[in-house]
Amino acid sequence: MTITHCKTDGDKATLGFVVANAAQGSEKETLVFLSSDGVYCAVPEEMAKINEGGPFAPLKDLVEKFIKAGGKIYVCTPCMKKRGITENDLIEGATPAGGAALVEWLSNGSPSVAY
Amino acid sequence: MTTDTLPDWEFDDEFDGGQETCGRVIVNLYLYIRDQPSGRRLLVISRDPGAPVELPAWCRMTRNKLAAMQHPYYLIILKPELIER
Repeated sequence: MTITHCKTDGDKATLGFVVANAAQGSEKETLVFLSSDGVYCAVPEEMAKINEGGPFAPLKDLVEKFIKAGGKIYVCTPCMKKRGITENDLIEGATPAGGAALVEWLSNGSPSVAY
Repeated sequence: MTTDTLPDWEFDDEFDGGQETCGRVIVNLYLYIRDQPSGRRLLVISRDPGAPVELPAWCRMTRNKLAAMQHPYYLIILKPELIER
């Protein structure tokens, strides 16, 4: 699953994590790759600002639940660097990564959906 | 944080990824090793915070052997299965 929005479109960020939770909750090993503005979904103070209202849970709840369920989050390092985000700013459970990690995951045959 | 002391590894050559991240490190590394012989021991230095995930993934995909890693240092043996015996 790739998510490219947070501040720019809280609705898409929220939906991305709803689907990620559905996937992980269905016992499918799930990777969320955050790039572009989506990297803010892994920054606690930024994710806390996104709440689309019912029927959707706040983004922070969705992200925390995904990590608790064993979901994996990779965060694009150049996208972080561009925005002045460091490893220490990320929620525990999110890992800085990049193209090679994403390509390996996809080339192993994983289906993917983009938000 | 990273330890910046170079581990006691034997290597033939060195590739420093500099301040580059993500696909830039990968393609530069690919171009660097492309014409090098199998079995060569290459010390890769990458301060990309993603490197601990990226370089193992790249090695698995390209069948280079990650013999050791201690971020920002990575010891890679080039395509060991291609060595002629």
